[in-house]
Amino acid sequence: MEQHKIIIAGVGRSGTTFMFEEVAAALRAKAAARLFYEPYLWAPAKVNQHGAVKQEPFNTGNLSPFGIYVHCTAPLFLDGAHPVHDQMIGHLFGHGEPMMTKMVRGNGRLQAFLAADPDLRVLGMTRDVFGTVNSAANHFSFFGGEFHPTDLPRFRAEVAARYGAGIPSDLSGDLPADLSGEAARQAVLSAYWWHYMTKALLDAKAAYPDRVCIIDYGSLRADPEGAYQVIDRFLGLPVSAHRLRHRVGVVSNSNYLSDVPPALLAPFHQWSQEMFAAQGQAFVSADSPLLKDFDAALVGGYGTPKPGVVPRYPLYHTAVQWRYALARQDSKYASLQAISELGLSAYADAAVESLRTRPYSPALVAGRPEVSVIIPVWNGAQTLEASVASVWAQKDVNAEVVLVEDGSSDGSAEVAEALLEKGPGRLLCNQRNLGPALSRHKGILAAAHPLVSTLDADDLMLPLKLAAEVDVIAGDPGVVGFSDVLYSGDNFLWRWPSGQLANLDKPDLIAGFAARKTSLPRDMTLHRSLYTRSRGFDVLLRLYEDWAFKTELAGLASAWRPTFEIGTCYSRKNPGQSAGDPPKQRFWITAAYLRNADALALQFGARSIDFLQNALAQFGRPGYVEAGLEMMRQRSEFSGNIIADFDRMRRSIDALIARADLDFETRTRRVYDELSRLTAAAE
Amino acid sequence: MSEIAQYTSLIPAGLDTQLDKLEGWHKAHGGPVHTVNHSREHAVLAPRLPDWVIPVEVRFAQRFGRDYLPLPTLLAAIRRTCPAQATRIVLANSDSEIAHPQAIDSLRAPGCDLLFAGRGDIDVEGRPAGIYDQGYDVFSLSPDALELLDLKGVFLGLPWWDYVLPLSSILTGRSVRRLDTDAFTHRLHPQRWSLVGFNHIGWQVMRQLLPGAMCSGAPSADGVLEFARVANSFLNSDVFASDSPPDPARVRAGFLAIVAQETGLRMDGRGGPAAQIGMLAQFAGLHAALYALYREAIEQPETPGLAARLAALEPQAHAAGLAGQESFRRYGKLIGLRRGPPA
Repeated sequence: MEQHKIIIAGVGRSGTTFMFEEVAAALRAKAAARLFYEPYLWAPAKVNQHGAVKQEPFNTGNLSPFGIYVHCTAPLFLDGAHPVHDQMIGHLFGHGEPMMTKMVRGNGRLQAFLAADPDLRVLGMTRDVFGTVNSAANHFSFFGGEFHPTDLPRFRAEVAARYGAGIPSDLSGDLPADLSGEAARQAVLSAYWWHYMTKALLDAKAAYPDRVCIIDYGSLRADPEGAYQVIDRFLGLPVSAHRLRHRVGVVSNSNYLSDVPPALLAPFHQWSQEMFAAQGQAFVSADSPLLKDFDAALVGGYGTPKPGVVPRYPLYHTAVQWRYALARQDSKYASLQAISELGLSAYADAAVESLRTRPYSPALVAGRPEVSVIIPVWNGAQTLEASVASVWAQKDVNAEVVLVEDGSSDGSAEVAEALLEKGPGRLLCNQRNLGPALSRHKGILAAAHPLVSTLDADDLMLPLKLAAEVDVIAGDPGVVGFSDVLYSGDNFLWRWPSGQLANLDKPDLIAGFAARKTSLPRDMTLHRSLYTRSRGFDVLLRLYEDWAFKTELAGLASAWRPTFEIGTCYSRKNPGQSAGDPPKQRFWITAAYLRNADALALQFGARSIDFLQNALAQFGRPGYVEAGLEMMRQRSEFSGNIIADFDRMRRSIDALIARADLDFETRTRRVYDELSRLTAAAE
Repeated sequence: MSEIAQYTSLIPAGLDTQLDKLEGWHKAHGGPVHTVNHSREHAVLAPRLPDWVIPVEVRFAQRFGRDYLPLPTLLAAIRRTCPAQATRIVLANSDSEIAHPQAIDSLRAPGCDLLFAGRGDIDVEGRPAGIYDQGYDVFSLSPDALELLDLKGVFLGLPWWDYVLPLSSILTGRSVRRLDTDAFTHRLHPQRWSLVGFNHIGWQVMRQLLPGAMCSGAPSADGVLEFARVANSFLNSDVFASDSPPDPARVRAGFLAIVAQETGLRMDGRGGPAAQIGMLAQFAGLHAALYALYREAIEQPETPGLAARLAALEPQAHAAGLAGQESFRRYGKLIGLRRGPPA
């Protein structure tokens, strides 16, 4: 089947949303595809399950931190590979499936996308300058405070560097004399944006003539039959059969530029006429406004004057969020740079040093979010100080540590006690070793603050981990916030991303966790009330208790929200408990899976058997496992048997957990052999 | 003290909406409403409850990923907290509304062990959407009948819980009556329903309610579904519609006979269903004959004379004293539909 990978590109207010919906409908009729709506701004959730853009796409609550981050930290005009922008390319294309995205802030980066994937096709939408700027004036500004506080200076600098052209610097500076007032200023700045974004699109067309098709919005309206013939042929999709009956989004039928002297925009219009005439590479109808006389046909054709630039969107929220995200990235990069240059050990030493050299108690600032971080400690005397220091060094939150000493023999309790004289927290001491699950459970219940997170005694938090997770939780007690993990070993540093979980709906998230098919976040931040609604960490499980807990939490939480940032540095100097000894792993994976098996069977039916099989795959599936699961599948012809069989397995494994006299191979075999002895039909 | 003690199990999500609805019940009977919840939910709910709601904290092993309340745990909670003066125990879903306070009197029902009622659905725009006939929302028990709740593997909020109370009452020979009213309403909302749960719990229910019938046969989804159809049809029939409860022995025998005939479940004859077949009450026999005719119409729709045989049963229906003949008409309609329009 043809691999459809499509970008609908535009300037903004040039008909991209309209075209996105039509192409999405045609694409969905032919193949399942992943759809992204303005990935530089909005989260993928902007497109509903039917492929339609939601009624009001400009809900700032849906801003995508990842997209904004990429947009802010990658050049607006980009020729080749770029470490940050390549993440966006991987985000959009890295799944080997049909996909489509609408992109209005990406024309300068189109060639990078086209270079990255030979299957990609770009359908570029252009529009005449007056129509574009006028429509924007009724809707938003390209450089106002509501969206991109950094865009204008970056845009100006990049245009100057690339084209040697100057753009008016500010309202009171070198603007033309007749450019007075905010409306005129915004109009001219929008026209510059229009000019260079249109030029970038034409440049992409020149570089990739067969993979870029340009459709002019005015021509589409003037000669739809001709335009859709071109589109259908270019995309290999019957888009013309899925034409919308109504226009979508904000429609501008008035002249919002009546306060703006036409002479300010006329040169831009002149440029477009010459450009399109010279290159002849767009679908341009003779009736398109693009080719009409500027003053008479364009300015006069937009009806009732309604002057004014009207930025509609909450300035404070988005601008602050934007700037905060940038500050956060700076801090994160400083930390990561230190880690990559110094190594994790040296970074930990520095964290400890900062703890030693500053006033003992971290500054507690009234009004900041408060988080308790639970750290189970078992023989962690050597590393605990760095872990605690990394918690107390968290920015923009008041963080306490809850140290749960778990029967250590290396003096960890004394170290913990001494540490707690330096900053906020408390120490709980288990009389004997109870394991990390029960230790975390006790710690969470003893936490002073409503928000809780966890950390291992040999791991570190990056300075903005908790602030970022509190930020994405946004006060919702049903939400889990989490970040990427940086795995560190003696000779490797490896980022474990988990942001892709944001794209999953709830059933897929639960299934992904249960089958261990997706990355499982670590050390999430959540409300203690959410934890207490769960069964918590199961104290009978000596391994994989966190997996069982996360699977349960996947169903219980209203949402899992990633920060798209590195939150924790996970030190992996030895194989750890989660590697090696396959029989032991199989036993505990089975035991942990059965903690949620009845709920999974209720929701997913026989797929829940596949989940278990997949979860075991990492450590191999001996014949007795395969035989037992196969019998379950046969018996699942009566779906009620699935729950009964999982119940049977759980009773069996619970009785075997304490049988230390049996090796793990024997114990696991007994559980699955019991299934094999059943018959397909009998109860 | 009201003679009615009401129990439900609130869920933490959408609490205010549930409380709005329960307040109508509280005002109707004047007593408190008890909510029985696991400690996990209790901790979330208790601080948010008004004075007229009494939270009852219980512990039990969680099943199916949520704190669905097992019926035996509910029974223990009621026995622990029910006021001695209570002459009726009312169970209602936490999202049930009572349309007007006077309707509460219909649940006092002296002389009846169990009174069960369906609900009138209300659509999202507030319009009546008909009486729901695939389950029941409101139950009124006499204190002596509380042991009906002693059924393992059945949970409030999961499939079958609303069927088991009347079925268990019928099979233990208790007096049962259905209240046909639209006084108890329910706003339609999306529901999570699991076929796996329906089959699993249904099979557990069948094994407990019909221990003599469920010998060594393999369970099947068809068997569970057929049992549900029979039970649903029987509970919705005219048998339970009169103002006084029908004779429990006859009801029990009739139900067992229909189950045996319709589901094909094997009966062991040890004082169980097989022995009861011989005691078929007249109306139960009529139902069985109607079912047989209906099945024949489905499986062999071209069989001549179906309508005439249906008409021939009419005198028996009158003789059986089935006032209204609703079930008779219903079967006739079904048979007619299956056969298509008359030539």
